[in-house]
Amino acid sequence: MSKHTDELNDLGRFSEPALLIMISLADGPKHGYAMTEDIEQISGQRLGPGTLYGGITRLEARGWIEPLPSEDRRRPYKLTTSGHKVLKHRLAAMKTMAKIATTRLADA
Amino acid sequence: MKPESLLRLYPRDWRERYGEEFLALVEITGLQPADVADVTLAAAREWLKVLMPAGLKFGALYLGCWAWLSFFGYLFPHRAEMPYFLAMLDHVRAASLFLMAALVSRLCDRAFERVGRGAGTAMFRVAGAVSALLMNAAAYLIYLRMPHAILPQPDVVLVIMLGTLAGRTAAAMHALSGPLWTPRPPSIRGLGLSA
Repeated sequence: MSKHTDELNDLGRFSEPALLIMISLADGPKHGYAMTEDIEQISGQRLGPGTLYGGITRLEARGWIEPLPSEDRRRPYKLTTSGHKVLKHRLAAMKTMAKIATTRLADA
Repeated sequence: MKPESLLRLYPRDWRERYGEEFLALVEITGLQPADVADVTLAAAREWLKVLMPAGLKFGALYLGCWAWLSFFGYLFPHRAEMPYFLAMLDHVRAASLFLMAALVSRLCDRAFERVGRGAGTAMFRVAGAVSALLMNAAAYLIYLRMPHAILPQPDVVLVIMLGTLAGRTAAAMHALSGPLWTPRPPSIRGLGLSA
């Protein structure tokens, strides 16, 4: 497993919400409400505000997302360059696992 | 429940950083009972980050306590006739007191640092060291009063308490009066520089 996917696992119970947040930001900056709606649409999961901001806090602390200036209270975030790399590696690992699982199911 | 009340569950630094956008989100989405529980748990985790020393995960601390307990439990042969897990329960209860004392002491330290930012910070660190000793002493006294309290090894606990106090006092003195030791200046030869 690459160093980047190890780092994502270090987020413990927030690793899945963090991944969802990063996927949501992959197509452009969003604020909290937009992330919540987008994540619910793509995954069927609705992140509570505590879980969402727990993930945002940890991702920002690691430098994988960063806030953008905003004129109102809603602050948008975007993926950083290192965040892009972490997300890319994690998705590549998941793609490999999905391929192996699919092959095994087909052979079973 | 009002969103502002829920926000108060978080540490102050967190509120200052994320409070406004958190409120903006909650005012749009509303608060379901599940959201209240979600925020309460998340706030508790943020407090744990405040209380735990940087780099030390709560799980590691918990496991360290368990490892100490297990070793402690094997030192008492007169407990051999009891089922092991019953003997361990007493130690778990006792250890939880020390863990709570450590957490409360840490909370006091962080509060002192916050209040004493600027002048007097070092004095508050000394107060933090004293509070650590008092908290551990209180936990130890409660432990002695518990049924099945094990008395033969009080010196082990005393060493731990004194070690904690010594370490914290040294840190406070370092803050008050400068380094306790003078670092040896680097050798010119070691730097690869010619004389």
